[in-house]
Amino acid sequence: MNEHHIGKGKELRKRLARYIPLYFMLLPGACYLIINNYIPMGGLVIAFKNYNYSKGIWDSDFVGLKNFEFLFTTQEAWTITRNTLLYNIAFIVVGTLFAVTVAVLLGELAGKRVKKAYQTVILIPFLISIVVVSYLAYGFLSTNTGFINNAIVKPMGKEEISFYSSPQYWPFILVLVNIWKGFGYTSIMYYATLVGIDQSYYEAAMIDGASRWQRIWHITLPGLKPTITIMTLMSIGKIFYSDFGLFYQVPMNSGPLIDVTNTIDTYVYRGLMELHNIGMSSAAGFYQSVVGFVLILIANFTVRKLDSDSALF
Amino acid sequence: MVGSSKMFQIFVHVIMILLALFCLVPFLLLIVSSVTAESTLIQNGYSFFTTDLDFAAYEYLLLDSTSIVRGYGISAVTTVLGTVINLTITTLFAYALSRKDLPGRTFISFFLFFTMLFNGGLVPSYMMWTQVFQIKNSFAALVVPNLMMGAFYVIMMRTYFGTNIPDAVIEAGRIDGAGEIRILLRLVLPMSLPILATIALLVGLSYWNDWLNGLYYINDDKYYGIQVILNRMLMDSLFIKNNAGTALGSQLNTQVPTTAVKMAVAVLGAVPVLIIYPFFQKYFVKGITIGAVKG
Amino acid sequence: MKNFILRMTAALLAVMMVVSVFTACDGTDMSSASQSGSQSANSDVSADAPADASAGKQSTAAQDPYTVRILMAGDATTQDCAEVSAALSKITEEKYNTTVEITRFGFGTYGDQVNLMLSSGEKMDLLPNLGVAMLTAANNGQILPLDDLLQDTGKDLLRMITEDEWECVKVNGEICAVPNRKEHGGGMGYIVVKDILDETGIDPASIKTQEDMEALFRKVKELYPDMAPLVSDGGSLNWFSVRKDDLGGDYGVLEDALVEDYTVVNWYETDTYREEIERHYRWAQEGLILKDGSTNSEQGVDLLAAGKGFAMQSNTKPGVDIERELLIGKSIEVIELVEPYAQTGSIAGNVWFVAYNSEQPGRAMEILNEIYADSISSNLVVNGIEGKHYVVVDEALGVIGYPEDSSSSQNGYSSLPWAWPNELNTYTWESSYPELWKDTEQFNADAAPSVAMGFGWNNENVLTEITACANVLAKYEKALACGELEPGAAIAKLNDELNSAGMQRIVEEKQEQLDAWLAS
Repeated sequence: MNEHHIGKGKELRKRLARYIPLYFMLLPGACYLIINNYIPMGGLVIAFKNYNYSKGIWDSDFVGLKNFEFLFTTQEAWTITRNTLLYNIAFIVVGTLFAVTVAVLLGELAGKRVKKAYQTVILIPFLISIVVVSYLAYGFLSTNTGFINNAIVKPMGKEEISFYSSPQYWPFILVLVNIWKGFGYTSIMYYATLVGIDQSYYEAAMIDGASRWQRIWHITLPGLKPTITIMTLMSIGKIFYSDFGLFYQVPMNSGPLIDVTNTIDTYVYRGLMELHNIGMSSAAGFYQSVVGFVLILIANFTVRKLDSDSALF
Repeated sequence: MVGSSKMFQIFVHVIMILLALFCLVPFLLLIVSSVTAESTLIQNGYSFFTTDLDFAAYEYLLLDSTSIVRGYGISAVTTVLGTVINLTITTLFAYALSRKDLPGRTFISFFLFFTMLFNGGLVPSYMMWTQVFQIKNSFAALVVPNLMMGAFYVIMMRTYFGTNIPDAVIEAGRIDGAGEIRILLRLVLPMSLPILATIALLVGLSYWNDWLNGLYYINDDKYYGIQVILNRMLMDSLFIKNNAGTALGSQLNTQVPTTAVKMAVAVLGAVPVLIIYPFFQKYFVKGITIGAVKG
Repeated sequence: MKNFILRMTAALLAVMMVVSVFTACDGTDMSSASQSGSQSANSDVSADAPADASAGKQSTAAQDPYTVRILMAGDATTQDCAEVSAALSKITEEKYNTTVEITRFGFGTYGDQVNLMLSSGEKMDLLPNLGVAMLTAANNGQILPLDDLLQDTGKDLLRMITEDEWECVKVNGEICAVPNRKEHGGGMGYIVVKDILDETGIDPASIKTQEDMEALFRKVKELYPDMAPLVSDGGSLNWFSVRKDDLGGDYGVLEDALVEDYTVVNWYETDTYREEIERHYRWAQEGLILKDGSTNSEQGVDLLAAGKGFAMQSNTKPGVDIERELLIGKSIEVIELVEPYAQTGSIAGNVWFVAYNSEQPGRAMEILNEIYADSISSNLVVNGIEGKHYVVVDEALGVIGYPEDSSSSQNGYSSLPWAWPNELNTYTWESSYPELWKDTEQFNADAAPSVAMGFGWNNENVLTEITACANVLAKYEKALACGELEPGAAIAKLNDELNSAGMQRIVEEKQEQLDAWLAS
């Protein structure tokens, strides 16, 4: 019995000796996360309080779920939830398809210089702030002076389209703008992974006579699968959030478009713009986080069952 | 690339050219607008061809050249410093997390990822950084809050280590008697250049583009980075617009950017990145074949 | 799996709880510190006050040194603010042994920054209401009630500001702010480009009603078929020439401020509103209003300057023509359709607060009093340092201009007279005209006060409804005002949705408060 214990003790120490360096490696990051992320998380209680500046966070009155009311007791609640969800799903699906395709194509391209050139160019949209993008969009979509109306619609002899009063175009416009802005950036991620796939697989496949498509299908895509899965999972965690600039600035805050472009974030902004109520905006953030959290747990659990390597945790 | 055929290459080129145009055309519009006379812009909207070439916007911005040059300087230093620190912390964390036999791995992953989901909001963060850590109006305020480590990058790097570094390599290192640090430095990192370059690029971009830290934590203009300067101007003009047609709005005199200046602002912010980006791209090279380790 | 989630959540809760305990300590420390701070400040002041009464300013100079921090908006470099602060401190140090520190933020970011600073308890004493609405600030505990402070160190303020004006800045019966000395009230009308007006041959003095304006617009359209005469200002065409009293904002108004009818109504259901919208719709159909007006992101003055419009809505007050001319670069004419009147909001529109966490509110009030009452101090904070930020052009008339080698965009300390406590005792700029402040005083005396002048309302109980209504209005308001939606159907829809959003509750609540105020 004793020997067994002593043996176990030695085993444990040996194990620890092996892993201690790893734990040290985790230390700086963990400290930062605690300071930067976890300590401020205590402030989530603001969502449940009537925040009074003089009293501070802890002494302000507790009001339960009152700050959450404005998110649910309105006829807009359904619209904003539906919009946020549907747009994000579209962004995830279309965006991923686009970025992966671009990464694969770049990978198949011969010629280093021209590859670099393409990569640089497709990153440009990411670098332009969304506010400026909204001005550019206006340059294309405006009724009188916009490019589309002046250079395409009118020469075709048709009546000019008043985009900013016509909600039906906007789901497509917003998805397009979102993809345009992001695909250069997300494709970097996929491209870097792709480039790290072991070349010997490809060589072996070519020796076996596999065609290009077969190589892509059986080597490249499976090689990207973990990355794609992780990126998608992380997007699911953010599924109740939206890019404020995209949904508020790009449609120029135009009234008739609001039913199609109002998301939870823009709704909160519009409602609280005058009121500056910290408790209510904190409640909105809390709500968005909780939903994302639940969805991620479900999604991650599913992924774990299917392919545990690709799971987030 | 092994085994390319002419037809296919042409096909890919066509698609890439279309995509490139897709991205370039609006940018072109941006550049042209920034050098068009203000009155023409208002009369005719933005156009690709301009008859009134006018550099007034750039004159206005660069007139106060000391602050713009200083802004670029601050941004550059912040970006480099922040990226280096971030990359170090992230790589260490990601490597440790990628070792499948690490006890408590699941918990640590969750601990990491949870920070992406829940956020206490700006107010508690601000209180903590300014009251407890006293970083307001200091250089640390540009580097430390929010950007020094992000769960997203850690997870990406961890995934890369997990899928592209075979266990055999680590085992081989261990058999040779190397400690974890050695394994990391001598074996893993050289094989990870693509992901290191990628994360460095993405982190660098996030530092370069960031203006929120400068907005909230700095009001001494000697610490303003270029994006802070430019975005403050944009926000001022947005404020004017949002308050148009009100009593407050009528009192604000327009010492704010004209349309052309807004465009010039965007160009000035984007161009440095485009110049530097190609230098990162040389790291996106295919990894060495590790066939020798198999078997 | 369930086990896993339970363990995970438990672990996290544990971490969060431990962490909260630490922050809780910090939190209570901070708030108790500021409370004890203000308590000692009060005892300071009350100890000094009786001795002061006859000795005047002498004994205040013997107080402990203190720095009053003033937050302000507007472009200014850190360096220049420091210089102005130093100059002002020279004066205040001698009188009160108090130095002053001025910090300025750009407009676009001022609101966010100030709210953040208030939440973290960062040192500050005085601030204007530029991103901090008085009602919200009072209810949120961001600012201090001023009644006692005014009695102690704000004697000049009490003397120079009338009882009626103090009524306008009360919340729950307590004075919460010091109203700026500037124009109180305004008329409503249009500003038009003079050259084009002359071309039409119509005499501006003959234009008295909207129908007259309509005829004018038609004439302009004849002369310039490609131009839409009336433009929106950044998408807004909401400044109707009507005389309603907003009763403190957040919807619910008195339809006519000068009529003794105290029924609070939903502005969007009134006949006046419908008339205006129908009029704008008609105008839009005839091409008299800028197309896509509601999504226009340009300011009205820029459109007029570029020759893309003839007229825009405007308030009227002394000097508004010169102000706009500077921005537009053309001669303009002001056409006033509604004579100047004043409501509570006219006085409460620009005010100054004492921050809740001011360590010595008595001193803060002292400095505010100084800036308000003393023209030298006032000029310093408004215009900057003589020789550096301005030069005196005419000593007798009190006119100043930019120094030789600089211009408005290079000025390191932008001049924002209306935002400081008292603009009427400062110099006038040569781009304006010398009698401006005198005319403003006269204007204030002449403006007809609303029947509800002095009523301030409290929106605490209807925040949810206000949020919902704001979202509904976002959908319709601008488009309706620019004449882009068919009024009959759209107004009905708007009010339907407003009522579902709780507009009635807001109106009822306001009526209750108004009735209570009338009774007292």
